[in-house]
Amino acid sequence: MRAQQAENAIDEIWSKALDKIMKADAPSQDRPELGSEIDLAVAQAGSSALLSSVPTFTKMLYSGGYNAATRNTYLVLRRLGMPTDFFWKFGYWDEKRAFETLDKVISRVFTALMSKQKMGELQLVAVHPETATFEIAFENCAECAGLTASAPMCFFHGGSFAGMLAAMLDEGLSATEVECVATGGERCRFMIRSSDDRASVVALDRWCAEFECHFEPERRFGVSLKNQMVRPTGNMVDIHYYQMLLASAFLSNIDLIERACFEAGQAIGKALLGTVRDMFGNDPSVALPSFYKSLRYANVVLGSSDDGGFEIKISEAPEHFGSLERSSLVPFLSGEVESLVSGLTGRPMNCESSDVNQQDIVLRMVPLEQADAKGQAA
Amino acid sequence: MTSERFIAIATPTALLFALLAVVLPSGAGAQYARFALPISLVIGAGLAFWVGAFYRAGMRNAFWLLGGFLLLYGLSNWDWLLSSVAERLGANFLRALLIYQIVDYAMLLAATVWVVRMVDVRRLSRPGWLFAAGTVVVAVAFVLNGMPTVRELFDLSSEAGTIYLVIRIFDVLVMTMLVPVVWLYVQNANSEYRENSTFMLVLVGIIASLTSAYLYEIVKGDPLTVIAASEYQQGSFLDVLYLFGYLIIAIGLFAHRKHQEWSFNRLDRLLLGDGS
Repeated sequence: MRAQQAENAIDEIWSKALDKIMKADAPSQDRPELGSEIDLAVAQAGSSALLSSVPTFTKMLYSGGYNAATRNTYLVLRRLGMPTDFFWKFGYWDEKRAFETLDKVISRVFTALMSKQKMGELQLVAVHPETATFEIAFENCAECAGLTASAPMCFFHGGSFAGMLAAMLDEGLSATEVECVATGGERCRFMIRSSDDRASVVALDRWCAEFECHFEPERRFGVSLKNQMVRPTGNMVDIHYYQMLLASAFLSNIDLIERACFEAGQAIGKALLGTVRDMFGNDPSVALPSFYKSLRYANVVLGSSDDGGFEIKISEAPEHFGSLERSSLVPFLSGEVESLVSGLTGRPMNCESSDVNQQDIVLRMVPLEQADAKGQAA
Repeated sequence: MTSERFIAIATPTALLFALLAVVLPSGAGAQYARFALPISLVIGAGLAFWVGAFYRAGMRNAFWLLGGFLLLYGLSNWDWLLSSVAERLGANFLRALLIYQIVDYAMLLAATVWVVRMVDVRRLSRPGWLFAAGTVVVAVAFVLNGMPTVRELFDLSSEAGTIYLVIRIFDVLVMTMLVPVVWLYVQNANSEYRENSTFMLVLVGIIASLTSAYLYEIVKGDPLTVIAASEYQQGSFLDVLYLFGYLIIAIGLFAHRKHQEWSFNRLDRLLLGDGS
């Protein structure tokens, strides 16, 4: 059921993204107050936190990107009237023709689509049709800009590029990232090879298995909150990118990672407490709305409840907006808000419930001692 | 323009061009057939080389060998060229023609083998294999139907008999190999990644031009040697069949080369918002 929801959401997000490059006058799906963009740090925080805590999340990110791209590249190309035999016998094309044709399609459709969403600028570098080997460069990558890592970390984009080419050429492909901005590279660079080549599958498995993430949320969010640029194209990214990431990697695996999402949110909230306090003060009803608004993440309104807790209304959060309206992804946000409210008030809080109505996410925070008392009474 | 639209316009136009052979007054029709048959083959050869340059390895081999076949076949259809060569070679002409035809048809056969290897007919469904088996039966019937003539020709000249037999065997071999490929296209027509339609049109053209004469022979009840002597390049229905087959090959080759350019232009127009 949730997998179906994820697939529907992914298809809808891709379709809207395509509308944006096909029709300049396509009806806007922007959030009324916060608009269509969100700070990159928000999109990076969730995946980086889970990369730190769930060892298999590398593969989930990669596969999420691969599956979504495979399915939707096919649909996009059909919608653009491209015949299914366009790349017929690609393995027998000479290199010049293969490069020129693939480059034209990629730049006209996918580079445009990704640039519009501020995901980065995709560029085909080399094509060897006889061995189904491709090299792709990606400038201003939204997945790793402003982050540091000991090994390449753009699993979602690696999967997406391999999936995109796989769908175009009807060929099983595997990607590995060979250069990454997070490791000090000038740009992100991916090698994509046929999955028939055992070495490429082994390389992918090794990349996913051996990656270790040390995410420092306070440093990363600090950069964004101080308006320091993490990449030349700016710190913002289209919410469709973030939603695509959420639907492909998180929603598709939510049954496996729901608890981990909540705990990752809690950990990020704890890590960000000092930064939020320094910049927005100790009053949660001021600090929380200001913090989330400055990231263009969500509108947050805190209401006090009689038990000393809070009822927190969150609107326009990408997790519960547009294509994800019917499949809200609350655990991460719940954990983060719980930690922030606890820290700012100095009283440990427990997120007692998280409800979604048509417009908002409503989180109910109760002081931990009361939650414990309720638990014991029960 | 799209490949489908081009084929939809060009095919009936080709049929009209082919029908001119019988529509024109008999003398003019014969003149027209004598000119149009070799010219359409040579154009087809040029297009096959042009398409082959688009590929590498097996696909290039297939198209270039097809181009070689069409070129040699086209030249051998040039009446005045054949007559002048016959005059020069005298008694050796038939032997030379035999070698020429074997080389020519060997190229077609090799091209076909490459096509079969490239397209991988092992993906044929059960009905496809049954259809392929049916094609073999038809092929055997075509050969057997020609055997009395082969015997008569061997009595006159072993070279003439061999040419007649070799051509017939090569023709049916090519047919039996290409028909399953076309079936595979039909089988996968609605699948996510179908075979290339323009390439299939080339194969249909080859099959039609090779086998239509044998069907015509069966329908008429006369040996092909008799029909050819009285009808080939005489502005006849036989000319129409051949010419239409050759033109279909040329149309398929041209559309195959332009397929991507047209498809991409369409995509571009859609992205610019003025496509239909």
